[in-house]
Amino acid sequence: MRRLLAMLRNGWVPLMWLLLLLVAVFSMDQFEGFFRQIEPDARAVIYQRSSFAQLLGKHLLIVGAASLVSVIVGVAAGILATRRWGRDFLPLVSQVASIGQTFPPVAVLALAVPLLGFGSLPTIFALVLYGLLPVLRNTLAGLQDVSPTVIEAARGIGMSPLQSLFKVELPLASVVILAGIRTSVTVAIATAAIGSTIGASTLGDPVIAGLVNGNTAYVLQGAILIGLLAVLIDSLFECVQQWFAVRQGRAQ
Amino acid sequence: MTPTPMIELSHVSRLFDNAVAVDDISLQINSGELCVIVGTSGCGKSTTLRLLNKLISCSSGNIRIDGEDIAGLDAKLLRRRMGYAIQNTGLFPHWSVERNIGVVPTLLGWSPEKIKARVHELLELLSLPYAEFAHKFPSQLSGGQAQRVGVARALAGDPDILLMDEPFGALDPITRDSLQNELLRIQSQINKTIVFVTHDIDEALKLATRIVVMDKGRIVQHDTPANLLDRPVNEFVQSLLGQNERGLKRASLEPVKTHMQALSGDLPEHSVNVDDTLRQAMSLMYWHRTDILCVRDADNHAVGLLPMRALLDSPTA
Repeated sequence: MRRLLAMLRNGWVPLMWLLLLLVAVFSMDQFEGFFRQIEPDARAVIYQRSSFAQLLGKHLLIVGAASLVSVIVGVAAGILATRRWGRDFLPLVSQVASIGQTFPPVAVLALAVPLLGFGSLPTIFALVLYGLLPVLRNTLAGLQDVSPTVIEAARGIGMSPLQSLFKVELPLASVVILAGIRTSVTVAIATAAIGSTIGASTLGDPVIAGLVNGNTAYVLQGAILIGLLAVLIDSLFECVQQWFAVRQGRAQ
Repeated sequence: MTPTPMIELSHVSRLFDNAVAVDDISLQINSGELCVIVGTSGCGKSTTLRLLNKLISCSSGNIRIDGEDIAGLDAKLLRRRMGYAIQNTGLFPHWSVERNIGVVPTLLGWSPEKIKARVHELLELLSLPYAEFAHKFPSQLSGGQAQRVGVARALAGDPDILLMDEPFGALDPITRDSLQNELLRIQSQINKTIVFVTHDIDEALKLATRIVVMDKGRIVQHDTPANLLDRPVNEFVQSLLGQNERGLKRASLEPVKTHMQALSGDLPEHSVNVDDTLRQAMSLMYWHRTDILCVRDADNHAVGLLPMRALLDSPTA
């Protein structure tokens, strides 16, 4: 009961961001006066080419798809590289992921277009490459952090390797892994906007349109929405992390 | 009746990268024994223990548990039949005490009601009230409490054999002493076959029915604590026993009751309990500067006399 209350209390923060985001998405034209002050001479000050709700949906879809792949591949690779028979791959796996991180996303986009064409696919590809490292790095760190005594105990009492992994190692590493996923998703939300330069439809559209047409109001609208979305998702992760920690008796 | 060997090692060796950790060991441990393997670090005692539940495999030789060669048994099924308690407990930090203790019964597929009843029973056995401890997490326990839970977890599946690898090694002396007494008390109730590894010879002498002394991967001597003290086979065993302290260690294995004499004349001023050891009696004599003690039973009735020279007699049955 106390836990439930604590969750509700923490739940107010994402709820507040969600409300702000919804207000921004559905009632942007209520703030026309404000944007008019920024761009007094522009023909239109509210981005009209597509509804903000549609852009938000597509943005989420791209981020969701990319994050899903990042998480699956990152966690799987992290698990494989920490198994006894996979230890040889450990340096290779961490290096590959680091290289993904050193490429600027714009460069990945530029290289991906000739291969994958324009649109959402190369954007997702770039986001996956970029989001893999935080997930992988934290999976490795989390699993390697589990005390050898505990793993020894799991074997010693008769758990199979899979039971040890799913009942002991992954739950113990979950808080650290989750922190990696949180970084990955939050960065992806911000980075996905760049996809608009190669024809993906995202919340970056108003930003790009604003930059091309010299309309700061457009840029601001896109930036506000991306920012609110990133903060909302981040605060949601905060809640989930808290919940995991409480469930494992690590926090009050 | 010859006791049945519960655990039987014959000519077991284990190499690690051509270094011999365990060298041609043969050993029989009978049902209901508390066998303590003692030796300096790196002598192969932990390796020997881990061979028994196949955490490590034998390089040669074979091990029989209850008559069955373990080479042909599934490692995890074998381990579920044996309790395993280790130093620093190895408790799962993300699980409550109840879930930690219930893990082996869960693996064995017991019903939830049966597991709950078993957890209840074990917590009471280890003097940890269920209501207070079942829902705590390991991080909320003291070292001694955590180790008790570790022992309870090892006992949970009701195994015939309990393997303990320096389980009390990380505890302070007072807690260690009380857990040793606890283990002896529990063993007198449940009568398992226990294999206990330690580097502490006093712990070995206190707990063991028989002691295995290991050095450089070999068994140097396998005998009862009293025989070990009376007849150490070589200098290594002598030095392990501590040259000058041997007399006192031997005295701590003898209860007062086997040396006391019948009551006669006036009762001496100072008393010793009938279940105390000769070592404690000697300590009392020295402390009170007296050469005779009155022996009293648990109800404080005088039951005999213990003069100093009686310590030198061989024990009566």
